[in-house]
Amino acid sequence: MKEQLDSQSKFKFIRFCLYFFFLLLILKAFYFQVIKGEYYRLLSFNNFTRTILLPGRRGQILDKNGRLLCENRVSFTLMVDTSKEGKLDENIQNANRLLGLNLTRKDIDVALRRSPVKTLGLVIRDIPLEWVQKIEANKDIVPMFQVEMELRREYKEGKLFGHILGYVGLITENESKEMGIPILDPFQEVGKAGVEKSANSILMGKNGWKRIQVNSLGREVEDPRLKLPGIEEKQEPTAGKTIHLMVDYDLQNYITNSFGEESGSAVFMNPKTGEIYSYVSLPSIDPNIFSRSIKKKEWEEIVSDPSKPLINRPIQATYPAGSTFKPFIASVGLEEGDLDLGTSFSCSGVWEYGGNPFHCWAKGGHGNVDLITAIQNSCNIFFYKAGDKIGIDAISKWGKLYGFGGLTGIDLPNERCGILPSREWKKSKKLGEWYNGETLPVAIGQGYLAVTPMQILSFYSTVANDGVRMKPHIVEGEPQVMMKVPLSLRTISILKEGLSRVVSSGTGRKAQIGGIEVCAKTGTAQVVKASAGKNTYSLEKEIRDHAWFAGFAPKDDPRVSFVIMVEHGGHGGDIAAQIAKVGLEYILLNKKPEEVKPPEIKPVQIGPEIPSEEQIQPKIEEQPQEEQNVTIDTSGGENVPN
Amino acid sequence: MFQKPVTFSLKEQDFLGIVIVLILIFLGGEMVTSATEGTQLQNYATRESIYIILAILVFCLTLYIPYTIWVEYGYIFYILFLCILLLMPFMGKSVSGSKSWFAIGGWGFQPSEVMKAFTILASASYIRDQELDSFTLRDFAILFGIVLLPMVLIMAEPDFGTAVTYISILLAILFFSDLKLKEILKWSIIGLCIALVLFGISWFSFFKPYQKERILTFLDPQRDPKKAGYQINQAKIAVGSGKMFGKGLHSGTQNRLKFLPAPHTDFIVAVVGEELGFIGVASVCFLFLILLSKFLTVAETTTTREGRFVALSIFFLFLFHTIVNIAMVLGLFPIMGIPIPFLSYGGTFLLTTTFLSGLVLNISSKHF
Repeated sequence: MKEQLDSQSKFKFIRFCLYFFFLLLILKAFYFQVIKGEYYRLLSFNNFTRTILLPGRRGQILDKNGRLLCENRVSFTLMVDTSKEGKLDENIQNANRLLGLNLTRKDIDVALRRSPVKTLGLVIRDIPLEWVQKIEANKDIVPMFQVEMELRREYKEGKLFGHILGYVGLITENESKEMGIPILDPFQEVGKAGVEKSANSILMGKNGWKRIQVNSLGREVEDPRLKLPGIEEKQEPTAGKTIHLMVDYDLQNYITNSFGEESGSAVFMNPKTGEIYSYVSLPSIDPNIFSRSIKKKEWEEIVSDPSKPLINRPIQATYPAGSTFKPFIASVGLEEGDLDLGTSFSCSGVWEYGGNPFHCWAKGGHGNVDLITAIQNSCNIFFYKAGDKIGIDAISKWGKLYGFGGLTGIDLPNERCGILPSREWKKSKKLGEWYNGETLPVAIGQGYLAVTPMQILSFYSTVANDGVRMKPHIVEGEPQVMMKVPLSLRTISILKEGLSRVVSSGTGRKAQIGGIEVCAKTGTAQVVKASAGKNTYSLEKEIRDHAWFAGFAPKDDPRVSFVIMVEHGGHGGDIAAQIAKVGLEYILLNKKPEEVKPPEIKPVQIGPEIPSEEQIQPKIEEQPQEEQNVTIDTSGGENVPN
Repeated sequence: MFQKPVTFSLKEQDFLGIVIVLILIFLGGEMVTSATEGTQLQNYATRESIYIILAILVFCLTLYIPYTIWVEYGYIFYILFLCILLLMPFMGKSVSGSKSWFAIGGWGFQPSEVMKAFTILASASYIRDQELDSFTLRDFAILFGIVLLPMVLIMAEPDFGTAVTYISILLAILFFSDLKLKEILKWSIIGLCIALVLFGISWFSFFKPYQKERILTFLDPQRDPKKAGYQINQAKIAVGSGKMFGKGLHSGTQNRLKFLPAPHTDFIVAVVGEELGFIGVASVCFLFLILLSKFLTVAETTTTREGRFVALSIFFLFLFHTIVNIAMVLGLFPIMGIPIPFLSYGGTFLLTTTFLSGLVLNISSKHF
């Protein structure tokens, strides 16, 4: 009987265990499948589907006459695919032997880690065609290596259009936010500089995508029995649009060549529409080097180059305006009533102001000079006196209208503002109150003033276009008005008279062209104070003055405005005026310069680049810092000979 | 000692038990087909159908032949298979480092599975011959010896998963004996301690790295999500994504696109969970619960000592397989290669389990 009870209690215990275990299992299954079911359903969906980005083919870039400047070239990329059968180390060894490479297991791991697809890594971009053939012919010994086709940017003219076109690169998180492009694919390329960046939305086109069903090896499922309905979807990509530039290839070529070895800027524009015919920034960069994966060492070489080729000079370099600023002062004086056609000041070569001597470049002085003569001869004393009379407030008020201290609105990214001094500006920089004596150097384009070549062009174009300031544009498009400056026709005709005399009988005689009246102003911006009063050509090149030459032509119906700035180019009337002449003759007379050699176009170098961990993304916009001028600006700007 | 010959009576069959076994067998066939279709294991579905036909034949045969005959001659097969197990290291076919398979003309045969049945029968025939109800130390030694002998040989193959299942027969002996519940628990704990010591020794001597890895991953599933942890994660995703009603037969993406490891054998319940949902998993649990409960009742109520022992051993064996396998799929237990009766693919295992369940149902048909 006791045994019976024992036996019963044992069976009761076993039965209890049986029910307990099964209850536990059912509860756990309930938790997984009912409570967390939705979560695991999503995980399983992510498991067997993959969304592939179909990049919208980037648009081509053509010049004014339809010449192809930039297109996409087919490039081959060596990929590693670890989902293929085989031993990875063996594959690496074979590939090294086959292609004469030195790949390590670490390189492959890095490539896989950077890839959005776990088993697929990008090993080497831009491999030569013979490698492609070797890989394809030896599939049996390197089954894990494969070649994929990519489209890479190719800049046909290299350096010639370097600063206009810019370049593309892999999208960064910041750019993704800034441009409103979600990062679907880390290999997505966007414009980083130049037209590539400013017209990115037109060029890039719209990305498409494709959702495919994959198996556990990440391979697309092809067996119809295994395909699920409604999983595969495709959104076709839209190719980017082709854009036309207003720039003329030939002109760009002639202007670039006429600089010789010099650095600087040259921009030719239609003042009525804002169309830019030529945009030169020297030294230039070949954007093709960014199209490949640039190496750290290569990048450092470019950055540390003392000639600073990364700076897009017409819009990113700031200089003292020098005498090219004087016609602006004249226009302010005329509009404000401080000057008139008959206004004249006497110039004895030196003027005492507040106990300081202010010099004219002509040591003996100009005697009594009126406004037009002052422009023609670039008399400093006249403009010191005029500037004193006008005052800094009127200068800064009118300066803003022309774009000084602000943006000219050109369709290139990362334009800089320079400095248009004013009482508020000085206070905001914690430099104290404005002294009247500080207005004097500003009136001759020195002092606190810092301008970009594009801003100078903006002023001369506005005068040429009867006070209507157009938005400068490199890419073909409708003309846009930036600002209507209330200039009277009287002021304009006085300025034109003065400027035409500069070329006909003044400092800009080298820009004379047959049959057409050219209006222009030379300028010389001091690099260091030491140069004052010395013959600039006797100085070392690095401290020689910068040469300016800006204006428009023809006088009566201006069809072209221009600015030339040659760094350390000496007098504005020399090399700068000669360069202007080349452009004007081509645009207005369709005359080609004779001695210009055909451009030396280097073929795009296609060489393998191994993207390493050290690889960096060049960021041109970080280079020019605020207030870090290319030239050394000196505050005391007297004695600038013109 | 021969029982009087009895006639097979259809009326006295345990129909519910038979139906449950058949449902599970056919469900297994369907699941294996789903798990192997469109893969290189495609011919497994054909093989599975052959196994199912054989299994049903074996099932009918065991239902028809009185179990006493099996108990009578069980020890002969026990000795025969002991010899075969001894020869395994020399004759076995090596599959992932373990020589547990005989290859006969392209078909595999696993003696360690069949041996479970004969170990139970050999123990039962010893118990039948004992007149007294109370167990002496000698009785325990002999019975444990009968179980441990094949267990050690299987460990040596090495086939850790299959060997561990023999523990269930040891438990059956303890519960069958006149030991009190408290003593059983005490001895179980002592046994567990001994096992742990042996486990420790084995760890440093003959455990395979993949076995160590599986156990370590059970203790810390985040240890290596790419390898062993990958299997657990994918099994969880499979079961969980089935939600309440499943993705439908043959529509489990985890299964059919090969995210799920070994979907046709150890992880077949994950396929059930994915394709038939919680309803499917709960139904499978419920069917096993009824069947096992039935086995337990047979063990409790059968009049003959050997009949009670056979039913109890088979109950423990099935309980062990079922609980461990489902717990493993649900991430409650380490992955240790223990299949689930009727559902998992494997000819020897299916034939053994249908034979054993037929045996219990034969005992319950009360024609003795």
